[in-house]
Amino acid sequence: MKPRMSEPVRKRRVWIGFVVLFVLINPWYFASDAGSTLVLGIPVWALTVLGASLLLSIFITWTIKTQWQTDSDELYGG
Amino acid sequence: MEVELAFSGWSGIFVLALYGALMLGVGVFAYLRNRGMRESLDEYYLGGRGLGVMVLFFTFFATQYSGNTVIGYPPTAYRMGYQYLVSVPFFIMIIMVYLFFAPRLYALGRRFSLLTPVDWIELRFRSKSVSILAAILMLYGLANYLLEQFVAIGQGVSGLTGGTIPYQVGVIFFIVIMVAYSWLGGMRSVAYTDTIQGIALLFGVFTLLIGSLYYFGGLPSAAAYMQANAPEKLNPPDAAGLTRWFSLLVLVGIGAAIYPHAVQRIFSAKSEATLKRSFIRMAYMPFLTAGVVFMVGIIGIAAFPGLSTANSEQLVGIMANALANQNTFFYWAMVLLFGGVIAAIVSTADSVLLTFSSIISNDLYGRYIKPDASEYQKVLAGKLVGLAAVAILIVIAWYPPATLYQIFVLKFEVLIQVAPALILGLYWTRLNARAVFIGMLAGAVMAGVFTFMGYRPLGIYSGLWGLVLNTGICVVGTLLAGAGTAEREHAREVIGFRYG
Repeated sequence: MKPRMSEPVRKRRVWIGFVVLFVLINPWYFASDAGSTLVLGIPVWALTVLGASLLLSIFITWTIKTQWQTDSDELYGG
Repeated sequence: MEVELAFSGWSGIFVLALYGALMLGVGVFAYLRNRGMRESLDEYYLGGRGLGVMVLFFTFFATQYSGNTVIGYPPTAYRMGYQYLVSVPFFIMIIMVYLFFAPRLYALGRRFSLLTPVDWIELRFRSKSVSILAAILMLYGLANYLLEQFVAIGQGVSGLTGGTIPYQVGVIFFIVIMVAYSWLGGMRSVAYTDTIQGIALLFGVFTLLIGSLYYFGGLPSAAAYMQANAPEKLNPPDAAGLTRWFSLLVLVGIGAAIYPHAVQRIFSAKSEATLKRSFIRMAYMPFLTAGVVFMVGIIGIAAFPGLSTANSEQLVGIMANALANQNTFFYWAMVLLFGGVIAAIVSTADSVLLTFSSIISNDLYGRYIKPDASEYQKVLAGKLVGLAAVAILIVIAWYPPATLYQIFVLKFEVLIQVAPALILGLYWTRLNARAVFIGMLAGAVMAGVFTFMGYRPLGIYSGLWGLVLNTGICVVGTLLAGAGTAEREHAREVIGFRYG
C-alpha cells in the first residue's frame, strides 16, 4: 500500500509564495546608498529584509500546517 | 591580540567540569533506560525513531547552530555592518528547503526503515558506485566538520580557563566525554545533551545581548556612530554583494538542509506531527540566534571602534570581558555563555560523529563488507571506526599539516554535491544512475579545485558552481540516456504515492 501524499512541492500556491518571498529577502530593490534612512536606529532596507524574513517564517508555518499531509504514520507506525 | 578573559581561570574550570559531569550523567541515564540499544541500528542511531517535539527540535537546533554562530558571527557583522544581515534569512532558507524534500523522505523513511541518507540513495538507484561515492563524500565532509569542531573545542577551553587548561587537555577532556556518552546512549544521549546545550547557548546569547544593550548602548547609538565614521556599514549590498547574498542563501539553504546528520533527524522523528512541529519552531529560531548575535556585532561597532580584522575576531571575548567586570551576575552569566559556546561546539560534534559511525555501520560495513553481520556487530563496527577516526583527527588538530591543509577545509562544498541524488531522486523516476554518479563526482572535483585555487567566478561560492555542474550533468545525462524499463518500474514503486 503506497502512502497518500499531500506535499508542498506539488502546490502552485506554495511555489508562488516561495518565489515572491525569496525575491523580497534579497535587497536588490534598494539603491546601494540607501543606508542613511533610519527607523529606530535601523536602516529601512534592513527592516524590510527582516520583515520579509518574518513573512517567510510565517509562510513556512502555514505551508507545514496546511499543505503537508500524509498517512504514512497510520500505514507504517509512528 | 589574545584576549585574556577576565572571568577565566577556576570559575571557567568549575563550569566546564560541571558541564562534563552532566553530559556523562545523561549518557548513563540514556543507557540505563535502553540497555538493548546496542543490539539495534534503529535504536542506537535513530533513538528508536521516537524523538519527541522538544528533543527533536533541540537536536535539529544543534545541527544548525554551533559555537561558531556565537563567536564567529558578531565579528563578521562588526566588519561588514548591516550587509551581514543575510545570516538571518539564510537560516530560514534551510527550513524552506526542507519542505521540498522532508515530507517525502519522512514517509519513505517509515515505509522502508531508512537509517542514513546513503540508505535512501541505495534504495533509489540500486547502484554500488553511486552509493559508495555518496558515502565517501559524506564521510569526508563529516570528518572535516568534526576536525573543525575539535580545534574550536581546544581553543574555547583554553580561552575560558585562561590557559590553565591547555589546548590539548581541553580537546582530550571533551572528546573523551563526548565519545563516552555517545557510546553509551547513541542518538538518545546525543539528543538529550543537545537539549541541555541548546538551552545553555540561548541563555548565554540573550544575556550577552541584554548586557550589551544596557552597558554599550542600543542600535540608535551604533547607527549614529556609523553615520559619522563608517556610513558604508549602513548601506545595502552593491551588485557584487547582492550576488554573494543570493549565493549564500542558496548554498546554506541547500547545504545545511542536506547535512547527513540533519537528514538522519528526519528519520528519528516520533511521528509526522512531531517533525512538523519541530520545523515550525525552527523557522523562528534565526531571529532568536543569528538575529541576536548580529545585533551584538552591530553594537560592537560603536562600543569598540577601530578593531583590526584579527582583533575583531576576539570581539565576543572583549565584550564579555567588559560585561563580566560590571557585577557578579554578569560575571557568572559570561562564564555560562562561554561554557554554553563550548557546549554548542560539542553538541555539533557529537551529532556529526554519530552520523559518521552510522554510515560506516550501515552503508559500508553492513552492506558491502559483512552483510550477514548481526546488528550488534554493525553498531560495534561503526563505533570502533568512529573512534579510530576521532583519534586520527585529534592528531591532525594538534599537528596541522603545513601543506595541503586546504583538503581539511572542504565541508559544505563536498556535502552539497549529494543534493541532486537525494532530492531529484525523490521526484524523477527517469533519473539515470550513471548521470547521477558522473554529476556527483564532477561537481565534487570542480568545487574542490575552485576552493584550492581560491577561484570564485561572479562572486559565487565554489560549492554552488560544483552543484550547478552536477545538476546539469544529472539532467542532461538523464534526458539523453533515460533509464531502463526495470529502473523506471523500480523508481515508480519506491517513490510512488497516492495523491489527493
